[in-house]
Amino acid sequence: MKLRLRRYENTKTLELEVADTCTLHDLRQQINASAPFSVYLSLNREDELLAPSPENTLRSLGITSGDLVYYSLDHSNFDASVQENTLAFLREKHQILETEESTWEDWGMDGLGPMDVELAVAGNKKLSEPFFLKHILLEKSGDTSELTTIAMSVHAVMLESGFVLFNHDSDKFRFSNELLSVSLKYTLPEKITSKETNTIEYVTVNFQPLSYMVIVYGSVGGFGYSRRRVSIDKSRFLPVIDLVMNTLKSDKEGSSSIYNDVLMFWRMVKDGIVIPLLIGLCDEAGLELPPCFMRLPTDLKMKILELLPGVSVAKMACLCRELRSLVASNNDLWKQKCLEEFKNRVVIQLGVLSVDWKEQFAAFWRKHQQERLSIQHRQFLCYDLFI
Amino acid sequence: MSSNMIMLKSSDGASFEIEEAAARKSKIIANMIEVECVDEDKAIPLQNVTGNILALVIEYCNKHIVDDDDDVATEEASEEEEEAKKKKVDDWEAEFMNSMSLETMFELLLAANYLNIKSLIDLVCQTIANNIKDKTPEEVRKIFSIENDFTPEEEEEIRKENAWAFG
Repeated sequence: MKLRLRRYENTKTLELEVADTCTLHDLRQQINASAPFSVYLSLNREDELLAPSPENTLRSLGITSGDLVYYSLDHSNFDASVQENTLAFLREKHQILETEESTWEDWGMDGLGPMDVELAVAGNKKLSEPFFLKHILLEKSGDTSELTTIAMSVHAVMLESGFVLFNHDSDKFRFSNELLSVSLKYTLPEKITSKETNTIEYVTVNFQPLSYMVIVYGSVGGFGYSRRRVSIDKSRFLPVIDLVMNTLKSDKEGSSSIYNDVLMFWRMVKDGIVIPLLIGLCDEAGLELPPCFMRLPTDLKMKILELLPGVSVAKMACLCRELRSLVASNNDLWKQKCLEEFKNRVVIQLGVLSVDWKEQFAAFWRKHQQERLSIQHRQFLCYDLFI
Repeated sequence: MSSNMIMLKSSDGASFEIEEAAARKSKIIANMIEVECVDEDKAIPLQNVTGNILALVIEYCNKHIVDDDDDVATEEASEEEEEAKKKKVDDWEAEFMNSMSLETMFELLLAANYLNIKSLIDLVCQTIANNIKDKTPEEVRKIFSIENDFTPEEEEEIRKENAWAFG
C-alpha cells in the first residue's frame, strides 16, 4: 500500500510504497536505516503511534493506503500512547462484534491510492464522504454478487456514521451467492458496556432483492417500530460502485460524474436510512442525538418557522409536543404571518388589546380559500356556458 | 484591503488558513481579532466545529468575500449585471447546499450559529424551510426523524385545532 510521509518539522510530503506485511519497525527502518529507534511516528501530530506488539502490521493498527503519517526524530513532539483499535478491543472483550479483517488480504489494496487522489480532485477536497467506499475494500468478503455489493456499500455508510456490527445471537455476518436476503444488526460503541447483550439497543438493516431493485429496510430494534425503506436501483448504482473499486480504468472526466453518483448514493442511504436509524437508536438509548432538526436550539427552530408560510407553520404544530408549544405560544409569529400573507386585510383596531393572531390567520385563510373556490367555480360556470 | 492570513483550528485538530477578511464574516472571530489581538503564529481554536464542517464554512466565507469585493469595485454596475451576479451567487449557493446530506446541513447550521455568520444561518434555514414547505406532517416527520409523541387524544385535538390548514 502507499503511504504519505511528512516530517513533523516541515510540510514536505513523501510518498512511500510499503509491503502489506509492513510493521511500525519496518517503517522506521525505511525512514532511518541506521537508527530506526530514533524515529517517532504519529497520525495526528500529537500522539505517538505505537503498536501493542512488534508483530502488528500497519494495517492491523488501522492504517490504510493513502494515509498521512508524520515522523520526527525528536521524541518530545509526540505523546506516547498505545493505539487501540476500538473494534478489536471490544470484540476481544465481549465476543459479540465481528469484522472481516482476515479478508483484507484478498483485495488488491494498491488500487486505492489513485482513487483517493482522483476523487479528492473531483470533489474539490470539499467532502471526504465518498471515501466511505474504502470500507468496502476492507470489508468485502471476496464475494461479488450484486446483493453483497449493495449490502457492503450500505454497511460502509453505517460504519462511517458510527455504527458497529452487533451480533445478538448466532447470526453470522456472512454473504454467499445463494443467499436471497441479508439481515444485519448494528449498535453504537457507547452501548457495549455490559456483558448482558440482551439489553443492548440495536437497529436492524434488511436487504431484499426485488427484480431490478434492492430494497433496504431499516428498523430500530427488531421489526416494525419506525421502519425505514430505501430502494436502490441496481442498474444505476452497481456500475458506479464497481467502477470506483476498479478505478484505475476511469479517466479524469469520468471520475467527476462518478463522484456525483457516489455522492447521490451516499446521500440517499445516509438521509433515508442510516441517520434516521441513528436518531431512533440514540433516542431509545438515551444518548445525545446526532445533528438533526430537534437538536437545534429554540431560536434556530423559531427562525425556520418564521421562514415558512402560515399553513406550513400550522402543520408543523402537528408534529410533536415541543413544536406544538413553540407555535401555539407565539402570538407574534402569527401576527407576522398575517402581515406577510394578508397585509391588506389586517385592520389594527385601536383599543383592542389582545388579538388572537392565530385565530385571525385561520379566519383569513378560510376566507381566502372560499374566494379561490368561488372564482374557480365561476370560471367553471363560464366554461360551461361557452360549451 | 488587508490580505492578512489567520489560522483556524478545528475541534479535531485540523488547521486551516483563511484570509482575515473572509474570517471576519464570523462575528465571533471578528471580535477575537479585535479584542484579543490574535497572535499571528497561533491558530484560533474552534472547539465546537469539526474539520470537515469548518472546511465548508471557509468555502462559504471565501466565496462571499469575493462577492463583497466586487460590489465595492463596481458601484455603477448596471441592473442587468447586478442581476447576473446575484444569479451566479444564488446558483453557487444552491449547488453548495445541494452537495451535502441532511446531517451535514444541520451540523453546518450549528457551526454557523456558533460562529455567528448571519448570512450562512439564513441560507441554511431557508434551505430547510424550502424542504418543509408543501409537505404533510407525516412527510416532515419522516424526513427529519421527528418522533410523534402525542397521545391519540392529543393528536386528534391538535388536528382539530389546525384543521383549517389541511383543507
